[in-house]
Amino acid sequence: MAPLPTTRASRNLLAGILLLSLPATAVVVGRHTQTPWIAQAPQYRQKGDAEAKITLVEFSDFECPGCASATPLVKQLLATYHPNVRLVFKYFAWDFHKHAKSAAVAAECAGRQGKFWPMHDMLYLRQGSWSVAPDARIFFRAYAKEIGLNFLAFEACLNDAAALAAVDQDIQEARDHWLNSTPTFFINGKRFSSSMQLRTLGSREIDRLLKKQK
Amino acid sequence: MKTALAVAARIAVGAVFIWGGFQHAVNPPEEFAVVMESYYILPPSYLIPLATFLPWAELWLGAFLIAGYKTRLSATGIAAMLLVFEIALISAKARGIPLQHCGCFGSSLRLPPEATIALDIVLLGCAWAAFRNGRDRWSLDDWISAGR
Repeated sequence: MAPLPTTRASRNLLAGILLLSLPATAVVVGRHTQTPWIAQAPQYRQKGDAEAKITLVEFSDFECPGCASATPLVKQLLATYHPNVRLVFKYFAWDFHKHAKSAAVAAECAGRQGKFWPMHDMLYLRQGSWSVAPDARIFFRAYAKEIGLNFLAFEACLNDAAALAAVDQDIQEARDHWLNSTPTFFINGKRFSSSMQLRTLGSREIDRLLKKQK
Repeated sequence: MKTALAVAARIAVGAVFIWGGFQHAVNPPEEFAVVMESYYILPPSYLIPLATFLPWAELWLGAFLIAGYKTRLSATGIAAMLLVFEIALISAKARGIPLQHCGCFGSSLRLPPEATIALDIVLLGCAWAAFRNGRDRWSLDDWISAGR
């Protein structure tokens, strides 16, 4: 075993190197626990050209006000960059939002009847009503009727374990990838953890990617 | 007694900074940038560079202090950061910004802003004790100064 350094300068150097490198190694190891991943979702939770060069993934909570206010921004990006951008919607319901998970199940059930996006828009538009109600399902049933869903099938789906499992799977996926805020967006894998980040940096990233792919 | 308290203070404040810095550094900087965004203090373009740099400063200063390496310098750096955090929290409270939690420890611990203000004051006291008496015989500074 090599002897420990005896001069002040060499001790200083050794201590500095160790104290800089040990925490850095721990961080690098911690970061590598995250596996590279491309978020997937059923076709009914996607919008835009399937062959689009850019995939915008949105992890969102129907009860989160920030997610509701991000909706116009996402629509604007899709319109501006049509047909180059495709949207993939993922559920991320917070535990502290009382009705967020059942709203996600309602949207999933609407999606199974091909009406995910009308239900998605309705849930955000009327978030202020159902999110404060003691029983939000009354509202979801009314919305289902309003957008013309098969009511019996919708009702059965609300209690279907598979619909809930689809929501839980997305939430688990979000947790596995260290998502701590909603809405979180990914543009071809690059993370934007708020509407402000998407608004200020998203267009630049899309422009950069499109330029690169030309 | 004084030395034992200074060592305990050094370890306490260093451990908090290592934990907070590690939580932020291991997560993507965009997540920490969202936390800073919620204070409405800095322009958006500064947030991601700062969210990339700040966790490393927390982590390394915490490691330096816990080991008693450059103790006075690291205690000063940590005290300066604590003061900035304290000002940010108090200013957010004064402006009526409804912060759910301080965001200091990523998703591992969600402390309400009031508890964080109190914790920061305690940690400032610890940083002061480390500054005054932290170059003790269990510190690397002591081992280094004993060299030729």
